[in-house]
Amino acid sequence: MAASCLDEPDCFNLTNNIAGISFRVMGSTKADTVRLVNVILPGASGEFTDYSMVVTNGVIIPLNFHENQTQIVFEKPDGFDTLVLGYRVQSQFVSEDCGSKFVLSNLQVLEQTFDSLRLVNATLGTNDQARNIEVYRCPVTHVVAMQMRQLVGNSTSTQAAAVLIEGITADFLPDIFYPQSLVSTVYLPVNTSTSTTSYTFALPDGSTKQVVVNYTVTPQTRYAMCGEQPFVSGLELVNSEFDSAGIADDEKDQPRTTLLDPHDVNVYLFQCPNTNLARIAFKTFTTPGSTATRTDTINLSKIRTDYLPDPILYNNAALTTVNVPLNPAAIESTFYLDYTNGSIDTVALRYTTNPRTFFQACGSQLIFSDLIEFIEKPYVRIVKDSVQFPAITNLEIVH
Amino acid sequence: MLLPVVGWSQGNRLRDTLQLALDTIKQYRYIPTGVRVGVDVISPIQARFQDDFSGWEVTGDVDFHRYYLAVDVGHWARSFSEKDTSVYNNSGTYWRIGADVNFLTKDPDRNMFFIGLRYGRSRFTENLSVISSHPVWGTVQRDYSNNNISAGWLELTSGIKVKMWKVIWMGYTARFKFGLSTDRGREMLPHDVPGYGRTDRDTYWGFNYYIMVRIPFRKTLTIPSLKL
Repeated sequence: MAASCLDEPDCFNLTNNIAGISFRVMGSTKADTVRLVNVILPGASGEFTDYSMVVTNGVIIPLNFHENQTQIVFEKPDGFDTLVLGYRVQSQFVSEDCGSKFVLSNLQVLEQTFDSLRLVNATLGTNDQARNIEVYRCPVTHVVAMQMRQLVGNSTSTQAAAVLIEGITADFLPDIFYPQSLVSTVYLPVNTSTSTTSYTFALPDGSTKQVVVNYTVTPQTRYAMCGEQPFVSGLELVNSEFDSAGIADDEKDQPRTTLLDPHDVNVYLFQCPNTNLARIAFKTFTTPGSTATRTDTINLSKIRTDYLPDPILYNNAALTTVNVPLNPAAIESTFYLDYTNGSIDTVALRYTTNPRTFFQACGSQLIFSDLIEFIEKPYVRIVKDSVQFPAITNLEIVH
Repeated sequence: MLLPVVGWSQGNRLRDTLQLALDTIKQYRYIPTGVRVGVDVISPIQARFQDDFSGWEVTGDVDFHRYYLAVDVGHWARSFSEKDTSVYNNSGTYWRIGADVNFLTKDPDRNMFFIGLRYGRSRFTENLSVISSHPVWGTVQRDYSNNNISAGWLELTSGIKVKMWKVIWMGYTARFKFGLSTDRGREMLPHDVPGYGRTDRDTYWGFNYYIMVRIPFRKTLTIPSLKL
């Protein structure tokens, strides 16, 4: 009896109708990242929303084991691609406990509209570990990747930073890239008709910063189905109005001067850190009368300061934290947080400042520490009395 | 004077007679002495207590000295259902043919402890009715059939056969089944092969208990006793 129980198959995922499809770029061993609006399975009676508005480097598709082929439609922002898979379906009774299963075999590609495709395994799987098809697209060979970076902590190391910009324009196109966006890495086209392109970054404060690059364009037909393409190499940073900029290194510590796909970062744009940003976290008591708190979400209209002429607008944004800029020209700053519901919180801070040079290009910058309230409010708690960059929580407002 | 001559002649005749008897025994030892037929008692007991099984099996063998040609013929049918989403049944016949070697060569009753080999073959029909559901592809009801599908396999056997009383024999055979080959090119993959078992198992153990009747048709030759 015990042996027969051990011999019985598990009843989970017996039908092997799972196809794994991964996305790749011709000429690269790296996985490609694809933005999908949806994956549609025509003929499906149920919903399939696993890949609605996602960015992914592969999909897992349940094939229709009631038929011997399945059509898969990939909806992308720029159009559609179709894949039709054919296979053999055989039924088999498994046991009284498990019922029946379907065995799919001999996977074939019947139709496809991709640039290229490879069947790597004709045996389908029973779970999301299935790997059957690699879909290849022609490489985009004229895009340069630029990344915003910021000094971290008290060292000279850097990390990617998110920067709010109004938009980026290239000197040869009318388009505005990344309008009113919070960006870390931007992907911008180079002008393949010349050997230089100039980019203008528009910032929220009305200022602009220009970046100019030089390069060499070599038209080539490396992949027959892609035709002749401009391959860009020899990238040089000619001019940059950012605090600092440089060509990024690859894994072998060599300058990444060739534009590749998938797009690895070619240019670093360094920004001197904002050393005066104190972070306020919003909290609420877990239960009335309790001292324990949890994160609270508030709707903030704007923040007024005692030294800036204009308020910092938040347009009723729902926030759990907010950064407030301490006045570098004084030892006290007062902030008035105007909430959407009409209430106002006042935060009055006193601090000490010390100059220090972390980054040559940034020169001497102030370090803010010894943070205290000079007008105490019952709803304000000081958590960390020194300002760090990137910002960490220095105080909590508890409602 | 004649007595030594007479004694020498009688000894020669005795030796010649003995040699003739031995030669005769050797000449006729591989000629069968009888046939044994029997019925398996495990199958009807199994059918009695197992709702999803019915079957029978008969066996027969014939001796060639210590070697036996054995043949088994049987029939079995199975039916299973799983919560009304899958209903399966099969029915078919099978036969096995092979040889046994008896290791109890000195037993005057020809009781056996044997090891043998069999080749098995089955022809059967199976049906499957499935209601399959999938969250994306919906629910479909389908019927599948394999009509007159065949399968083959090999067996290693071992067992005993013991004379109980006059022509009545009893014995068991243990079987190690392996090397199953079936027709896997159809819309439905076979599940259960009569005579073998489930197709998802590379090997199988089997056991039969037989009640047999042995029908002798010639006496076993032995060395005769001589009167001097």
